[in-house]
Amino acid sequence: MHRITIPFLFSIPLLISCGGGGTVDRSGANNSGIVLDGYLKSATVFLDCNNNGELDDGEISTLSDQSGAYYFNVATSTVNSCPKVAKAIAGVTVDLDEPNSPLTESYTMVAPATKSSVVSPLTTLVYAKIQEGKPQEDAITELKTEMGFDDSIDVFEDYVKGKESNTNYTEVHNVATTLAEKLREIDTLNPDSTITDKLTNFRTKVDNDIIPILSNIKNATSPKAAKKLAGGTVGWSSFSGDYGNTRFSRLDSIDTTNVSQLEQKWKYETGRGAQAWLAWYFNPLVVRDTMYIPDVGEFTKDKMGVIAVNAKTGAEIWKKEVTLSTVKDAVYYTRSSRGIGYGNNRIYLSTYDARVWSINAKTGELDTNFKDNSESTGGYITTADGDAGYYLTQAPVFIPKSLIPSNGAASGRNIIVIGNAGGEHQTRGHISAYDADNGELLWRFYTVPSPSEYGGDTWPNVTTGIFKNPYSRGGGAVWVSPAFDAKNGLVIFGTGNAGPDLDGTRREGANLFSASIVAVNVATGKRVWHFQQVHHDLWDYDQGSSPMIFNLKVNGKDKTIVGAAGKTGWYYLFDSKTGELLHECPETAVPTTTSVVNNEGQPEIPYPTQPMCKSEAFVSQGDRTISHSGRTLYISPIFTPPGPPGTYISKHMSPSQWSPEVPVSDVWVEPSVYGGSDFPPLSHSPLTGLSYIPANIGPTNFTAVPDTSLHDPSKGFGGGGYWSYGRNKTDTKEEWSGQLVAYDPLTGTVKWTHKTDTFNFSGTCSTAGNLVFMPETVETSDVDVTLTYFSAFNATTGERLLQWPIPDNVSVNAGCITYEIEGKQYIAFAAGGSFNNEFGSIIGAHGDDIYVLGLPD
Amino acid sequence: MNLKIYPRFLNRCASLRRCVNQFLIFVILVFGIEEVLAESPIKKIGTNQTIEEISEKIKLHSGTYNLSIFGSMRFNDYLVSTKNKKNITAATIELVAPHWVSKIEKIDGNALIVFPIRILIVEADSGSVVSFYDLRNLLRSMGFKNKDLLKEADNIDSKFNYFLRTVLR
Repeated sequence: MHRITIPFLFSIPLLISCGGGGTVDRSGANNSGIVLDGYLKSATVFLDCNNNGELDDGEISTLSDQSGAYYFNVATSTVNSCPKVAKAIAGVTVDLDEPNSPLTESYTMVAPATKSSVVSPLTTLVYAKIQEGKPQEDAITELKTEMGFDDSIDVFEDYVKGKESNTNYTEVHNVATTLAEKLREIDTLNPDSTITDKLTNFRTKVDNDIIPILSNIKNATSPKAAKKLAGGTVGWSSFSGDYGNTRFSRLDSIDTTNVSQLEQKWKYETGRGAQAWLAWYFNPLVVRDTMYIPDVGEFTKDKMGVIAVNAKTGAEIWKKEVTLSTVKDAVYYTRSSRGIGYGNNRIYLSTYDARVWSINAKTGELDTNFKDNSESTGGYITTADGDAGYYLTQAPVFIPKSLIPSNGAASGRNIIVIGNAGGEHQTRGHISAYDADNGELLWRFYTVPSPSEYGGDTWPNVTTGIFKNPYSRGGGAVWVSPAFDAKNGLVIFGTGNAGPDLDGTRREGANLFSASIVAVNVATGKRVWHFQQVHHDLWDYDQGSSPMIFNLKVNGKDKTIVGAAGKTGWYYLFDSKTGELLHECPETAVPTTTSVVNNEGQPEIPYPTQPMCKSEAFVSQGDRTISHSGRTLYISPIFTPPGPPGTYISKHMSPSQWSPEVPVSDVWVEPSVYGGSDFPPLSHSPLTGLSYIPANIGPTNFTAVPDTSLHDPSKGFGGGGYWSYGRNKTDTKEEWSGQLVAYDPLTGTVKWTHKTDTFNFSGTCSTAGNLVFMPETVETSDVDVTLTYFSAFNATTGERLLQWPIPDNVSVNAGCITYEIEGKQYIAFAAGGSFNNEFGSIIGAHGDDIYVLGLPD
Repeated sequence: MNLKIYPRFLNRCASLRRCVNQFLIFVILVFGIEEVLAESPIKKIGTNQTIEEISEKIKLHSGTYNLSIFGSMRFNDYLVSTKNKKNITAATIELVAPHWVSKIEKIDGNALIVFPIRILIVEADSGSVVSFYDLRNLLRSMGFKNKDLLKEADNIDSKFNYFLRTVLR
């Protein structure tokens, strides 16, 4: 067997051109074929000429298309000279048996070199037998005997298509599905083992787990039912459940007809106690039958960690605690970890001291190969310096090397992508890719460019004086996890406010890439496109939640769309490949007069135009008056600039009825500093085509106070001003409230809303049961008493179908997850901390538990 | 070599930055690389990487400590009078972090003379040597005695050392 090499430059077009195209002969007669468990869309298929089961440099590869077909643009003789390997990738590959969301676990299948153009679990079993030394024909005969297939069955046939003419292929499909389940289990639990070991393990599992229940499997009513018999699981292995951050699950056992029956199955008590400033924004992950819970520690103690529990029972398996390096007081008030990522049998924990830890998912032990340098004891890397004001709030995102194109520093590596928080401390934001196995930094994208870089001219180039190099304090933090567009090889993320936050007197210009959506190449970290939602931000109108990626049919064409809900109240939608807006946001003149001047005499120069979208806003955007504590508040239109304290603002920004001038303290702007849409996770259902956006309604009073000396990031907020917000007990809930918005991205319109009694800081998840889940807070006639519920809504109509009372009326900020074990669907959420309590005692209590709900047995 | 002579040497220089470069290059040219490494009070780390590789990695990693590369990198080729008459290449990279400036300034503004932090990289056939000052010792040699200042300088030294170790991993 010889190794096939093709010039590097030619391998890229092959990968791109073949993934979705080429003339495919589905009979498999030549250099094309089919990948199936059910048909697998977007699986990586390659000629494994060195028989190691991995895609190596020089090996020919392609992606299966939307019907599971693949095509190699080389001679048939070349194709037949090497085994074909198909890698189904978690978060990317879609099994058309369950087409509504990508697989949650990866697995590998193989087909022998000479005969098969079909790559399936059955060909993998044949290949395993050949590897044991059996001739191919003997291996085929043995398999058919073991499985009880009659003579009409060809194990190298497309059994899904075969069912159309031969009903015997129905049981073949069932068996194949259970074999795939075993392959998933092997790849998930032993990702580092060799292909030989995996195949040996596969043979053992077939003998022990499949053969004894073969009759039941073959007689199952569907492949899905057969998979459940084989112990099939559907997990939630990343913060958002998939690379697109859609927080949608194809699970549908819990649906609109039975969701009202949900009951608590178990809960895990962390024992961390009630804490006001330690909000729980994280959700647990589930891999196979294990749930991994981020332990975000306690407010006054520098410990964080991970807890592994049985996802069916809540029984603790292991617990790992790590000690943080010094975490400055300044960081405490924004302790808001999204927790952990998973990949390659490792849990990646981000901690407040800006380190990422690698923990063995089986044992809970640190992976000491993961480190900064030879002086480090290992187990962690330092992504940034806490003394500089950096910290971490996002969950790391693991991307396997099979999804990274071969043209950059990250090529050939499993990577984690992580961005840094700390923009409010006047740091310079960045997002980075690290080798997931050894911790090496591979690329870094600075969200605030230096003067010589693209976008550097959107910042003043100051080279002298105490405030020189403003870009080095320019903010642009990456608070939340990016999305990954595997099809186009893009990491897509939102950025935070510019620094200083509210004082723009020393940062004249648009201030790229603050308050933006940015797409960078996953292999190189180089910018591909960006869109700045707010130029020269003065309102903290940054991107609070993770952008989502989903598919839409636009003018008859399938498009990969990026959706990002802004604090501004607009839902920004882009073509993922190009960054082109789906709905226009033309530059529009906005109020620009302000009397803010810094101590060097430099006035604030607000940006003259802002992108004002033509699509429907999902919250009110000001230009109205309300009554607040007996006063009339002037709710100015969006983008009205802040004033300095103790001054008056007049008609430049206001409707005529505001004349004469009013105190700055009475000039409030809408949306609020919390949006619009802030940090709570959105979700998107491919079934309804709707995106579900948690949103806030209410104004904020912004005040700019320029710095007089260089900000020390260890001393706290460096925002160059302050804001006040919040509803008093005498205010009506209509003026300060929240809502769950179902938004149609195709038309740019709101389909339905569900009002909440308070600001809405609760995340969502949605399912193929046509459900959207979201916790909410409900007021009572006693203004000091609020109740909290875990609610479920009909995803199509918005009808509330469930209000499950959360014990102790704990408010919930985190998004929910759902998973399935042995055919039973569970819903889980973390109830603790509570950002809502910032507003005082009228909204919810704190908590520290993980709740898991399910249908009655 | 006694760093206490350093301030006197500075008096004849047009600027601090240029002076340090001249000083280091002078020492290298006069004594040769082996002698520098043997006697210099400055810290040094050896590596197989080239100047270009090191400078690219410094750019890559600088954000970890919010370091800005101050000014431009300068590369010079020198023929060194050693036994083997080898060519060496030297480069100077200057780095500054706003939070380090902020902290030092709050304790003693005169101590800002140590910024930007300079790295001298000398590349020869056998690899490169990265040299840099220990700020705490540098300040002490200049007569600064404030304990808080020296403690803060020590903290910066520790982080800068770790930064370079990571760059050169």
